[in-house]
Amino acid sequence: MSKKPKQIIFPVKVALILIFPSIFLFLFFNLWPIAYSISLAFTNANNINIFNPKAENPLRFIGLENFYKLFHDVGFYYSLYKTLLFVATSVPLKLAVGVMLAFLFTSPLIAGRRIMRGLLLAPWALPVIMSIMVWRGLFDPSSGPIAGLFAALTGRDFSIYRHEWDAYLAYNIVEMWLAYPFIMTVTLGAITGVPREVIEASLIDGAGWWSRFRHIILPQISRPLWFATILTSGASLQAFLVPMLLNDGGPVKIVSTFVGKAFVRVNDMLMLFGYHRAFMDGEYGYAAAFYLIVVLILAVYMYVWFRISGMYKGVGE
Amino acid sequence: MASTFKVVLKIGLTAVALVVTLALLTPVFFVILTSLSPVGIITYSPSMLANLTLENYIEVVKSSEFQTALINSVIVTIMTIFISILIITPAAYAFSRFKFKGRSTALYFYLMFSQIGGGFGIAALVALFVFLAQIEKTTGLPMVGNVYVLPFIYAAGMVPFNVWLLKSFFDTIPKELDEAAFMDGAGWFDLMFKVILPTSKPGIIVLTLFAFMGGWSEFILANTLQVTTLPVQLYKYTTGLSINWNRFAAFAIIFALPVVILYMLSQKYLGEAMRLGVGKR
Repeated sequence: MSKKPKQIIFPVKVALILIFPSIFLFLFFNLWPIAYSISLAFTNANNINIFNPKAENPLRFIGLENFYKLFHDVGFYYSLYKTLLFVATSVPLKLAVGVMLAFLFTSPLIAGRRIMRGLLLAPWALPVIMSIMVWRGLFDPSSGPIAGLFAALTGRDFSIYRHEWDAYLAYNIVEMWLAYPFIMTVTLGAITGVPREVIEASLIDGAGWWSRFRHIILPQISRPLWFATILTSGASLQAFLVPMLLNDGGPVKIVSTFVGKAFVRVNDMLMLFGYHRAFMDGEYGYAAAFYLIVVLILAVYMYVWFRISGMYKGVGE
Repeated sequence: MASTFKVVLKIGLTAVALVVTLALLTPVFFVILTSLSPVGIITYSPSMLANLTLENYIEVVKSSEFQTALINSVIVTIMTIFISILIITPAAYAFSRFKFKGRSTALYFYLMFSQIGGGFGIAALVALFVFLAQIEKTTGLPMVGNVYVLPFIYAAGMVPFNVWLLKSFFDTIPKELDEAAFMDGAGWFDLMFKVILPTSKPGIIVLTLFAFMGGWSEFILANTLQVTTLPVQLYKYTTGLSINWNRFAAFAIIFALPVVILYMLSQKYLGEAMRLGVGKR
């Protein structure tokens, strides 16, 4: 080889042509709406004045009025309370079911465990929106078998459309069902990382069931499980499809908080609350202001989780 | 003695596992049995199995709601696949092979966005709706309720993550291949279509899969922008005054079938994508 192979020099122009269509679409449909959303938050935009400049209440800049209104909105506080409660109950439930399944299905004593493990991933294979609607059928007060079962167990009617906590229970069950394959898979992956000899050695040493779990298995699975917890609690915090498709965040009831009393959809989780403000009330500016606050809440929540778990270092490296 | 104990334990544990598995599969049994039961009936007991019928499937397929939704879904899905391949492949190739100003900034931004962008999704949805409605108002071009606009939005949403994914695929194709072809007198156009594209087939298959899954099952955007795709129509079934759960179930199964089949066929490719996606981080 006397001659060094010529370095290909593509004109930069070509690179830009290749990249342009994707950047254009991304900016147009993703980034621009985000920027536009921020600007809408400081206006009185609604479903009339945004289209008709001669509306009675024309589109204008209103400063922080939306935020002021938001912080005096009973529905907002109730939604925040319900959402945090949902995180507090659904996350432990998802984790418990996922981890228990993982431990059950590592036992070599179960015949056909590989097949069962594969079948248990069904929630992953089905489209999420279909699964949630099928659950709506299972919880249907008049014909749903699970609603019928709960009614028989409690001795009163079970209705996700009429009872606040019936709907809330249904959300937790559906959220658990959608998420257990993730927790189970993460845990299974981590358990297989525990060397067999270590477990056998501990058996010989006479380590009890609990101490074996605490000192050998837990350290091995804690890190991946922390990571899974952060992700899955983020999903609970942003619950949208589950409440929307099961009963649209209902039922409607009068509730009182420290800012007053009002009729609200009692299971409007945060993400759905804003959606209703925009598409039920037509208050686009108000919804945009609300989402700005929600994005801040999400950012703080994620930051705190990452700090607590020490994942921050790992990600930065 | 010990072996008897082990056998008993084995039977016991297997029974527990079986019960747990069947209990967690309740929704699957429910939707299948309901779809096969006569209208107004949900099959629970073995004695009811004799009455199973395909009537719901036939009625659903014959209904105009289903046909309209199916046509919309097919248009949206095929267009999403084509647009995403058309815009993402060249961009990923450029990011993999070219050195230009702003390259790493753009890549880093895409990575960040694909990790945290999900949270903005619904927040930006309101603004996207208002924005499209305003375009419609000022230009007269139909935007809301337009089945041909939706695929562009889906493809745009796929850009950050999939540009990274496909760039990782291109990075694994040795540069020497490009250089050899270039020495033989191929231009960059030939290079792209005759050398790079054929070798990056697995990457493009994964991209197609993601585009299919997105276009076929996305619900919130389609519902908000009033395009009646299959999932939107399915939702309409469950929100009426009197709900026909049998028809709903048949509709749901027809809707889910392509997704389930693809899920099973694609495990190998998705595994590869995950490996590359994780390896790059």
